[in-house]
Amino acid sequence: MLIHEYQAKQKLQEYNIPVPKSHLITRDEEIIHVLRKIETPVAVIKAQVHAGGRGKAGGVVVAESLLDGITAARRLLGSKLVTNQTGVEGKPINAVLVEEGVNIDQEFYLAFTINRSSQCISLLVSTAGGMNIESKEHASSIHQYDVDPQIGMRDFVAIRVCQDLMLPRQDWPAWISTLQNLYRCFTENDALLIEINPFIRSKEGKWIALDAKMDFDDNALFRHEDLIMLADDRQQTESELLAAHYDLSYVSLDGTIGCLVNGAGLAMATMDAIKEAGGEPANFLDVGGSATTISVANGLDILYHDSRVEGVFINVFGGIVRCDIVAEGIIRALQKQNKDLPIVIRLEGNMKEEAIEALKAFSSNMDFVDDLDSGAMLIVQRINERK
Amino acid sequence: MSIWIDKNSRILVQGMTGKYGQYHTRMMLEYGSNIVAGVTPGKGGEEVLGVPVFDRVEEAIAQTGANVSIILVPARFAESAIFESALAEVPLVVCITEHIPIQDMLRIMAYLKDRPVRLLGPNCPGLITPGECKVGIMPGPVHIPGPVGVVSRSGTLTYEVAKSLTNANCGQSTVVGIGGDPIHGTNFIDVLSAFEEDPETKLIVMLGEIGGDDEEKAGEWLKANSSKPAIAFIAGQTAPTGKRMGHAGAVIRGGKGTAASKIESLRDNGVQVVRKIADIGPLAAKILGK
Repeated sequence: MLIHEYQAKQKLQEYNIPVPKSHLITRDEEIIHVLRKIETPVAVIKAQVHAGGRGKAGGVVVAESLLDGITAARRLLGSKLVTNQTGVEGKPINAVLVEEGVNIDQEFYLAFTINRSSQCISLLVSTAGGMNIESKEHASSIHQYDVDPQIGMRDFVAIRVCQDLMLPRQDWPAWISTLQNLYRCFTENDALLIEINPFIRSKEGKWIALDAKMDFDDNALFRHEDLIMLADDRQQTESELLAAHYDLSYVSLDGTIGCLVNGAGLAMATMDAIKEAGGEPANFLDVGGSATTISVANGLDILYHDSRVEGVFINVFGGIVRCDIVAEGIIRALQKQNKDLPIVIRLEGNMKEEAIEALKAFSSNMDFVDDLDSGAMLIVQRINERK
Repeated sequence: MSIWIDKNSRILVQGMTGKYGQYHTRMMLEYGSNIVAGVTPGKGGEEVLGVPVFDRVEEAIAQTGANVSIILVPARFAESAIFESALAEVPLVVCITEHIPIQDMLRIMAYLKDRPVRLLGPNCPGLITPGECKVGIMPGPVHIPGPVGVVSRSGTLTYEVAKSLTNANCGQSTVVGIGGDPIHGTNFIDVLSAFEEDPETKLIVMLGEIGGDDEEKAGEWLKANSSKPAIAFIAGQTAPTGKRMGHAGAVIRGGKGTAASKIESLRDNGVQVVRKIADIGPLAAKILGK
């Protein structure tokens, strides 16, 4: 679960990591009032969206006058920000963070993340902080440290980091406490990623987190009620929200063929087969390895709700799941729909014949296939026939 | 022959008394798996489906000699269930449970490092040695015994491939699902090593997906160590960057973990990568001379 920058910075403050003085604006009426409170020569106006790449997309503005600040805040608040990470629809800006300017002496990159190959929490640091950290020429300047979970972020571990970064000794205490506090923040909140970019030394010699990104483990939210409160539904599309509500795995894609599949691997393979057949999948949708009547019906609701979907491919490898249960889900969902979309169905498993009988009795508008590839080809064909 | 489980395996089910646990216990019993005990804290002394239930794993092992454990408990109890089996040194622990918090898994993996315990999963379908023993939730009838060793990160996709192999009359020695989570106990190389040592396994089928670099490492391992031909399929060729595709581990980050790079790496290491799942059965038949 992603949270906004301003929420991440509140979290950092809970862990004694300094952030710039700031104010949050959610309504136009607050803009002037807030900007007049800024005491530094410049103010930084930052769009609050769940996506990176804000700087390059115009979502972060350094305002050198009150007028510049008002113009930027008005432009951003209530609009949508399209970055290289949001997709073409962009993300709504429902809040703008206004921060006091900081005199930057040096920028660093600092992050804790899960390292799947070493099966540890990893610390990533680099002297190349700022907007270009993800570019290839900087990849080699990143130092990586696996933190042994039984040892944790001890002083000697943190000192090693200071030495590798060739920090002067007077900066060591600030770094040691920052690394230890951040590691504690990571483990205590079941984080998947905490990124501070940039972590800066100001000209006055202070260490400050200028930006912060945090992602928490959805599977651990049951033990973090405080984090659940930080969720912002408005950063998700309606389909994504609906899927989350139904407890289904859904990812919106750019195509026109809706697919409903049981199991994540098979769902990906189904998308691939659609592409191979010359179509474009509209989504990834996994209704769970053991599909149920309800999960299939809910999944179809999501596909029919998506106005871009021109046809539907249902691929359920029942195996242990009974096909008649799946068919019941399909019928239950379609009874409520008046949209006439071509549907191709592939069912495999027990009671397959009975299931297909029931579906044929319900509607004559469905095609049945025996395998994945011919299903993918047929749905592409059915959609083309209607054009 | 087979790897890790056979008709002599003595299986204990953690979480056998719940609805989900009972259902899959019944399916395993019907397949012929030798389930000797169930464990549910607080339900010791009961009997479910003719199998005795114990309060603790240690008791169950002392009384029944169980040597494989399958975990079917809800996610928030899974960490404790895995620790309990690990502490009792059950040689093979199969964790079906999905949605386990990742930091629970980090603690578990750190603990397992120097112990004689193999964890399979979590978030996996388990494993099956066709005709002998099933420790998992996969449909039994799509499998037949034979010479193909299958290892996969997926569930239903694996059933699909097993069916393709069975239709081509290529039976399977053992089919192993390692699971879709980023932190998992058994990786591709562990399974490939076991297949290499199993004389009955003549051909390897590997099913990967986007995210991480396990497939690349497996390809390098196969080239350096394997005497057996291998076929691979990688799911997620059309997956976008930065989005988790259902499985917690299936996500492309910073251009790394794409299907294209995995396919290229596997091909460079001599693995035959197919574009369609349905091609796996016929290709296996061709390689095996059927």
